[in-house]
Amino acid sequence: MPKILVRIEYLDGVEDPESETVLKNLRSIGFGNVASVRISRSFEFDLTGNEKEAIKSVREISDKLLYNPVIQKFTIQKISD
Amino acid sequence: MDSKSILPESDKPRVAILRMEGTNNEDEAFHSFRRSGAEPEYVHINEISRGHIDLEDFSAIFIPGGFSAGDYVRAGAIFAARLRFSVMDKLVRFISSEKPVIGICNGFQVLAELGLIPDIGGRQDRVVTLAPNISSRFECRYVYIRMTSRNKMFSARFSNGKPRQVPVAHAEGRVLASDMKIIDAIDENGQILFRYSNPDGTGCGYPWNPNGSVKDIAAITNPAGNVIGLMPHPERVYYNFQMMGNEKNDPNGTGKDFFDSVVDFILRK
Repeated sequence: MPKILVRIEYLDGVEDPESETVLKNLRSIGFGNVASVRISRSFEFDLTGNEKEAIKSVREISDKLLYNPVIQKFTIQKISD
Repeated sequence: MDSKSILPESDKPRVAILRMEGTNNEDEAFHSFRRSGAEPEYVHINEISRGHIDLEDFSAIFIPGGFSAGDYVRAGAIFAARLRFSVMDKLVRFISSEKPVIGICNGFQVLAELGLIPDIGGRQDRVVTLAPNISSRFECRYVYIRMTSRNKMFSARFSNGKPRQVPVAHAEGRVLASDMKIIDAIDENGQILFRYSNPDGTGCGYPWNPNGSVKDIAAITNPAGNVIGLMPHPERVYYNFQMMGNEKNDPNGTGKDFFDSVVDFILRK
């Protein structure tokens, strides 16, 4: 049963107030060496069928629901067979 | 008494107020439509997907605010995916017949996810989204909006350019497009229905623009003007006593003018 990970993150150049808030507060508690923060979101799927079919399904799921192409991008990674 | 409120039941336009788990403000919308002379009905998305309800039987569709499906994945994304899966063709036909489809707050996010606004090319492309507020806060307070298009649905009551007080309550209301040319195009097409404003209409900027929306956009429409996405909540200020400060002395709450405009538009058709 293939296990597939999808990671959703903002496109380069899209301002993310949540990441900016984390960065600002990390610096205020002493982590001045943090240059930037990027928050992303991941979804882990267990699917039936073979790896090729699983990746095809997860790509469709990403297109139809998980990401918004206006401001986000996604990457797909196989975790295990 | 308003003449529309004494219309026979059978002559009142039916308005479908869509709901699923997590929607809210539908009660305020229901009562606003009823007070303005329409016959609102709650329609759960399951009734649509099971074929128990035909949207063509209605004169308008309203998608309320809230946190549909918990706003999991993204604000409005699951609600939009459910609608796309079950009734997208019917929705497009409904819109082609020039009937109003109005999404407020989370409903605006749903319409943007569906690509029904701004829909410049008529292909329901997703080109606009509602991103997290620049302030990184849930902004819940009164703001002002002014009409900046020639939309015929609202021109009678809103076209004088006077800023109108209305509440907002959202964390993701910043209008962004995949390309700034899209914003310029919807501006040139007259699709920016309302913009945020300061109280005297002389400027904007935070906090008057509560979310950092490009060009101070508070509401946009499709090219025909009958699909409307609006971030503020007129349904919460139907009466003047629901307004704040000097606006309590206005004859109507902003919501009454908003919903009267929609119902009048339906009745004129």
